[in-house]
Amino acid sequence: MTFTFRTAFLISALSPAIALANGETVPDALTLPTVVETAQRVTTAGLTSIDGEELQSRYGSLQNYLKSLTGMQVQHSGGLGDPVLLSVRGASGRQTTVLVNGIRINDAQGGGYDLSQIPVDMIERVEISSSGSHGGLYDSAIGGTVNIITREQEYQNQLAAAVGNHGYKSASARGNINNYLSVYAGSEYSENSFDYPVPAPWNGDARNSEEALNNAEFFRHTAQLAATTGTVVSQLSWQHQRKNIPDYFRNSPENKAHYSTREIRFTTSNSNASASEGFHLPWSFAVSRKNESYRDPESNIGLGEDDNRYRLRHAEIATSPQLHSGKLVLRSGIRAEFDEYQSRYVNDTDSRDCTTPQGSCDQSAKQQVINLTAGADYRISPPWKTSASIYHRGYRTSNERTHADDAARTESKDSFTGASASFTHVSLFSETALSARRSVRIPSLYERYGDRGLMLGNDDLSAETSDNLSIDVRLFSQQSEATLSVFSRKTKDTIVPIYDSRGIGRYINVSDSIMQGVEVELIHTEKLKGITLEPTISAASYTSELISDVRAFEGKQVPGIYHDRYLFGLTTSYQQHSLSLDYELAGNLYLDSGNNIEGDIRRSLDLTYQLEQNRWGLRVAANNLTNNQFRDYSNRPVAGRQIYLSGHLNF
Amino acid sequence: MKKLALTALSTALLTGCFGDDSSNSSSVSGHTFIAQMRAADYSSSEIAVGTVGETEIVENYANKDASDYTIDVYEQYLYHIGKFNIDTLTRYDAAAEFLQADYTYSLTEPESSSSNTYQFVQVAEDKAYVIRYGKSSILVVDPSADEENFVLGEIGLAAYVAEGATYPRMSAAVVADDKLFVGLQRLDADYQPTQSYVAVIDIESDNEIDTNTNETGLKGIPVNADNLFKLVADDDYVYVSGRGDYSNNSGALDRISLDDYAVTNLVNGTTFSDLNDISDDEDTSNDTYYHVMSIALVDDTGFIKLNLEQGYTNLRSILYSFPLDDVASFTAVNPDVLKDEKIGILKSGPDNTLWVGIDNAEAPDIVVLNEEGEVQGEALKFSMPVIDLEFMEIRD
Repeated sequence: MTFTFRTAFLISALSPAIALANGETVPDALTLPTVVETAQRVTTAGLTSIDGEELQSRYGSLQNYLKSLTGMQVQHSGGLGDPVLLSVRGASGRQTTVLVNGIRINDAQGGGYDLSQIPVDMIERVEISSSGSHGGLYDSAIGGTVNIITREQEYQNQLAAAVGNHGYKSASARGNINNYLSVYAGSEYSENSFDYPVPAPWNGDARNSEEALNNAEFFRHTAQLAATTGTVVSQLSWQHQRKNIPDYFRNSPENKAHYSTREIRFTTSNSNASASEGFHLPWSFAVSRKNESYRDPESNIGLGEDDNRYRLRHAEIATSPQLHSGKLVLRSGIRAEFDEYQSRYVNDTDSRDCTTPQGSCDQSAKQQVINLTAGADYRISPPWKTSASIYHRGYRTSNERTHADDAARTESKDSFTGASASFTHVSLFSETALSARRSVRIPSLYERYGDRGLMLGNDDLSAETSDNLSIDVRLFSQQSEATLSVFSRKTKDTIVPIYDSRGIGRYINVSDSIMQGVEVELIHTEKLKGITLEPTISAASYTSELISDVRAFEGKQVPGIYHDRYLFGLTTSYQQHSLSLDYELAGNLYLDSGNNIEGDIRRSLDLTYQLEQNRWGLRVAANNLTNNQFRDYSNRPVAGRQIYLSGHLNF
Repeated sequence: MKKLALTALSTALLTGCFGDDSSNSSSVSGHTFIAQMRAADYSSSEIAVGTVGETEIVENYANKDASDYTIDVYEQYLYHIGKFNIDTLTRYDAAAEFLQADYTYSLTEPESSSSNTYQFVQVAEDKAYVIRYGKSSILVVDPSADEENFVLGEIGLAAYVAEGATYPRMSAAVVADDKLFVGLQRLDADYQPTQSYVAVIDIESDNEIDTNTNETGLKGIPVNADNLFKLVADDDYVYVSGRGDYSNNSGALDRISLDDYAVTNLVNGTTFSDLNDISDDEDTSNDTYYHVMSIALVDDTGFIKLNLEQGYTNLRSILYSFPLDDVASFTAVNPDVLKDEKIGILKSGPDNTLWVGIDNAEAPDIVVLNEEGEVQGEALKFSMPVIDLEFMEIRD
C-alpha cells in the first residue's frame, strides 16, 4: 500500500528547525543532559518515561500509552487476556525485553511476556529505551527495553474502578498499612463478548457470520505487598489469571478450553542508585514461580483432550557497583539468572513417553545465564557526554525427557559479547545522541527443545544477534518539542520455524535482515484564554529486507510490523477537564515471511475525556471509535470499538 | 492424471483473474501442472501453475493465510480443499475462467467438529465423494448443484473406528474398476496406528462391498500398510503404502487385486533391512529405520519413496523403482540431483514421467524423471515446497 504522504515529507517540513538548531552556539554554562517535560512525557533522546499517575489518568492502560509513542507498535488482537507484545523500532515482539523493577519477565520457556499483566494502577513509572544510548541494562535487547517500576510506599490511598463494553469491569485498592508496608489488590474481568466473523459457525449459519464469541471470558486477580526499609525495597506479588480460549473457527458452545496461570514473585533491591559522588553498590534479588495449565476437555481446539501442566521457576541475583567521580562514572555489573521449566501432559500417554511426532513431551529444561558488564560514562566537556559499555553473556541450557524410555538429556552452551557506545550533545534547546550497539536474543527453551505443540527441538540453534546504529535528535522549547530518529539495524540468524513435508517442524536460523527507519514527532503546546491545546503529529517509516536461505523469504520484507505508521493527536485541556483525540494510520504490514499475506490498513480513532479533581478523577475512553475491525498482527480481526468508564478516589 | 480438451488458457487470463504476479508472460496450455504450495513456516499457502515441459511457473494464485490446503482435479475442474479447521471446497472451472472460483462451499456440519477433508474424488459431472479424515462417513455430493442441494448422502464407515478413537481416519482414496477404494488409517485414541483397512464402495449403488464374505467382521480389506497414506491404481491392482510409526515399524507396500481383493505384500520391514542402522546400545533414539512413504505408477513401472528416519528426524529419502510385472525386483533410483535429498511429493505425470518434489525449504524444486529414472530437463524452481500436484490437459 502507498500512503498519500510519507515520512520524507515530514522530514523536509522539519528541516528548517533542524538547520536553525545546528547554527546556534552551544552555551558553555550547560552542565547536564536536560530532561524537559513536554506533553506529560519525560523524554531524553532514545529514552522515554512516564509517571504512573499520568499513565492511569491519561491513557488508562500501559498499551494505550505505548501505542501513542512513535516507533512503538503494540501487538494485541482479541480481547483482554490475550498477550500484549511490543515491537520497538521494527524489531519483533520477541526481540523486546520487558523488566519489572529491573527483573526480566520474558520467561525462559517461551521468551514471551504480557504487557497487560501489570495493572495500570500498580505502576509507579515506566521507562522505555529504544536507542541503546543509556548503557547497561537497556542495551542488550535487539529491539528495545521496557522497565515497569511498580509502586512502593504510597502517598495516598486509592480506590479505583472501571466498567466497559464487552462485559469489562475492574476494581482495585491500594494504600499504606504503616510507614513501611503498602498493599495493592485488584481484579479485572471481561466477557470479551465482542462480535467476531466466525468462519464456520457451529449452528450452521453462513460462513463469517458475526457472533459473540463463546468461552471468551477472562479474569485476573493481582495482589502486592511492598515493604520499604531505608533504601531497600521488597515486593511480594501474586497473580492468578484465567483466559478461556474461544473456538475462533466454529465458535462451539461446547468449548471449554482455557489457560490459567498462577504466579508468585518476590523481589528485593536497593537498585535506585544515587547519582551522587562516590561508590555505590546497587543490588537486587528476585525469585518467582509460575504454574500454568492448558485444558481442553472437549477437544474443541486441538486434536486431543488436553490437560497440560507447565511449571516455570526463575531466580535472579544482580549487583552493579558504580563509582561516580567528577566527570567520570565507572559502571560494572554481574547478573546471574536461573530458569527451570517442566511440562506434564496428564491425558496423553504418548506425550508422557515422548512417542509422538509432536513436540509435546513431558520434559524438564534448565537455563543459566551469567551476564557481566563493564562500562563508563564521561562528560568530555559541558555539552558533550560519552558512554560505553561492554558485556559478556554466557548461557547454558539443558533438557531431559522426564518419562521416556530413552530419556535423552541434551546440553548446550554458548556465549556472546556485546557492546554499546554513544556520544551525546546537549544544549539549551537540543539533545543529540549517536548510538551504536551489538545485541543478542538467546533462543527460548521452547525454540531450542520444543514442547507445547508441533515443534521439535534443535540443539544446533544459535542466538539471534544484531548491530544497531541510531541518531536521535531532540529539539525543544517551552512550548514545542521535535524529535527525529534515524536508525539502521542488521539482524543475523533470525530464528524461524521450518516444517518438513511430514508436518514436523523445528526452529532454525535461516534468515538475516536489514532494516532502516526514520521516526519523527512534533508536539506543540499552546495556551489560549485558559485553554491548553496540544497537537501532536508523528510518523515512522521503515524499509526492510530479508536475506534468507529459504527461497520464499529471500528479498522479502520483515513480517509482523507496520512499515509505515502515522499518529495524529490533539489534546485540549481546560481547568480540570481534558479531551484527547488520537488517530492512528498504519500500513505495509505482512503477516508471513513470504509476504503472501498482507495485513489490513490500520485506522483507529480514540477519544478520551478525563476529569481530575484533588481527590478523585474520572476517565471516559472510546478506543477504535469507528469500530474498524482490521486484521491485525495475528491475522484475526481486532475487537473493534471499546468503551471504558473509569474513576478513582484518593484519600 | 485427468485429461480433457479445454479452452485455451493464457497468462493474460490468469493474471487478469488473480492480479499481482506478472513474472510470466508465456501462455499455459497443453499439459498443465497445478501445484499446491505451502510456506515452509506454515504461515501461508498458494497455488502455482505451469506448462508441462516448460520451466516457467506462475505463482501467487489462491493465496491463503493458512497452510492446510490440498487440491484435486476432475476433467476441467480444479478443487481447492481447505482441510483441518478450514473445511471449504472451492471449485475452479478451466472451461470458463480458470482459477476464478465457480463457488466455495462449506464442508462443515452443524454442531460438529472439523471434517478435515483429505480428498475430493469426482466420478461423474454430478457425483463425487468427499473423503473426510475427521468424520466417520464419506459424503456423496453433486458438484454441479448449488450449496443447498450439494450433499446427496453419506456412506458410513464408523465400524472401522479403532478402540478409543472417534473416527476411522480415512486418509486416501482412488477409483478403480468402478469402485471407490478408501484407505483407513484407524489410529487409536493416542494416534498410534492399528490395523489399516481399505474399504471398497460400489460407485453405482454407493454400498460398501463385503470383500471377504467367508468371514464375519469388517467388510473391507485388511492391509499390512500401517498408518496408510497413499492409494494408487492401475488396471489390475490397487497399491497401498503406509509409513508405519515413527520408530521401528517401517510400514509396508501392498497391492490389492481388483479381481478378488487378495492382498500381496511387496515391501515390509525386512525388504530393505540393509538400510536400517540399529545400534547395539539400549538407546533407541539413535536408531535409523526406513519408512514406506509413498508410491507412484509410471506406465509399467512403480516408484516408491522410502524415508530414512531417526526418531522424528528425516535423514534422507531413497527412491526405488520396480517393474509392475516383477514386483520383487527393486532398483535404486539415484540421480545426482536427488542424492542425499529428502523427497516430498511423488506423483506420476503426463507422458510417462515421475514428478519428484524436493523437501527442502531452501530449494523446493521439482525434478521430472522418466520411467527409467533419468532426469528430464531442468528442475522446476518453486518458491515454496509443493505438497500436492495435479495435471490437466488444456487445448488451444
